[in-house]
Amino acid sequence: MVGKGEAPAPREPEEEEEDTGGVVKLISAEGFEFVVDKKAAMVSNTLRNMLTSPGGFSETRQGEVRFPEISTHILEKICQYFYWSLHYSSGKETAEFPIEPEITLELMMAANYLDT
Amino acid sequence: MESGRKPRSLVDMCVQKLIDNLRDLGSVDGVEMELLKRILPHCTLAQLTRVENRTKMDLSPITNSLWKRFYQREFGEEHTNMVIKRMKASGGRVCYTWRELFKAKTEKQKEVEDKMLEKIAKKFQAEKAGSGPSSLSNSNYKSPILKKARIEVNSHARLQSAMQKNTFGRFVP
Repeated sequence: MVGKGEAPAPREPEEEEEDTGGVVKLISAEGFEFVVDKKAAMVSNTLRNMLTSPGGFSETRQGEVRFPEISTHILEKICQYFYWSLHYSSGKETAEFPIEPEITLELMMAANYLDT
Repeated sequence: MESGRKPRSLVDMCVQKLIDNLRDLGSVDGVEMELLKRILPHCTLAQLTRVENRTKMDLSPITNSLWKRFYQREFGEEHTNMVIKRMKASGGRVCYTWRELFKAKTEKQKEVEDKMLEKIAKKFQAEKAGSGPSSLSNSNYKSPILKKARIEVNSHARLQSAMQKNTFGRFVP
């Protein structure tokens, strides 16, 4: 899920609509790229809307979304939450999602923005 | 989703985490009011004081009712109602937040307290010139005048500490 240079091959937007397959690239304020499964990204209602809205947002058509206000360590935590959430729903995860006290406030603001 | 277990939202988890760790909460600048509405009502007086002192944005739309509650608890229902009446009587010309009122009332009480302390110290010094007030209690003065002075000072001190307990319990370090 984490890493650079794993950008998905560019596809036609028509192909991507209503499609939960494939990956999407989330880019932090510092420019770090997180490549996550679309299925995971759609845990966020904001991203779900972006990825599924007819016509699509320009950034999602290219398979990437920039978050100039979310720093790397927070975006990483958000991505971890996406996968935790999927695993929890499917019963594969039973442990609580760990949140470090020192990042809670910033994480909450980002989570609120992403509606997740 | 397959097993029907619904994970808690990350926002809810963070809100809960912040409520659990309010003693570490400082500035909340930039946080949505809707979120703060869920968090700040859990603050104690000291916690809310710190958060508001460290936050630049105006939190009074959320905290005013919380401060009113603190005011009622500290200074009594009766006094609070009198303050409300007075503000109403001014026809809206005088309008303070409950945070400001709380601060003003606390400072006023501190002033009264300080004045009283000063008076006691002066009185003692006048009667027992030269010696510091460190031996106010537990002293073995034989002189009847000094004994009287000591009794007075002690009763003032008792009154003082009783007042502190009643009204300043949470403020005096």
